Amino acid sequence: MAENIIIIIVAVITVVVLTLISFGIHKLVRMGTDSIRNSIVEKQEKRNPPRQENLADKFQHNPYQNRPYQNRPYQNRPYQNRPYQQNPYQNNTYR
Amino acid sequence: MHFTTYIIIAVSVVLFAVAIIVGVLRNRKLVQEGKIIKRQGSFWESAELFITQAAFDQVLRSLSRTDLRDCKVTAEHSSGSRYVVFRSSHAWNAALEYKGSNNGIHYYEFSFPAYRTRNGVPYRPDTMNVMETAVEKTFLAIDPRTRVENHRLQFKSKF
Repeated sequence: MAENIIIIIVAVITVVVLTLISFGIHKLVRMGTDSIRNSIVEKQEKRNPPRQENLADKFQHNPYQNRPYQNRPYQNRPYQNRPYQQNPYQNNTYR
Repeated sequence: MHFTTYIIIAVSVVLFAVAIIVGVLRNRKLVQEGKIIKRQGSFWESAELFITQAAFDQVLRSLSRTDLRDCKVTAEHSSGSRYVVFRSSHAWNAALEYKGSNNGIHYYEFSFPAYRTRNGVPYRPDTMNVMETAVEKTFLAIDPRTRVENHRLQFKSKF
């Protein structure tokens, strides 16, 4: 009986200690990655200082914005509305 | 492997694909509605410095009229303070700080000082984009010649 109690106590202590160790390791890793990332950002900012841009341009000339032809796929196509599309037999010399 | 294992793997792959498609469609809808603009990845790690002729009072009045229901945000500003803090129920906070003025030009900084992440990405970056776009539109509505500068922020993880 006493042996079982000792085994349970040892098991609980082991779990708690392992949890604390893994938490500590996780925290150390995150601190390390944060400091590496921050130093990289600092160097990049020094090398390429941020530039001012017109805020309106972000909405008008946004390179990440959908281009008009993606919303209207057949707009501005050079071959659109050619006569043969409206009437395929018009001006057909073979008839 | 057991047959059930194959089914579980197939179902999880399908669910993952469906989640990605739903996310893409939701983003596309927001872009088409003009609520967000497409931004570089990790835009939440940068602060935006606005350089404008808009005074702080004007900005506050305009922000109070802005519709921020999509972000589930409550704005907090105490009188005399230079900060407006936006607390979202999507596990992020945003802050607009009035940095001061010089010869009639006012400086403001907008950033996300705190947000929860899953695998290094915030839970709902689309709502953060809605917030940032709304703030940008607010400045543009007051002063169309507003200029902006992006600064990457230093950050510190918490548990």
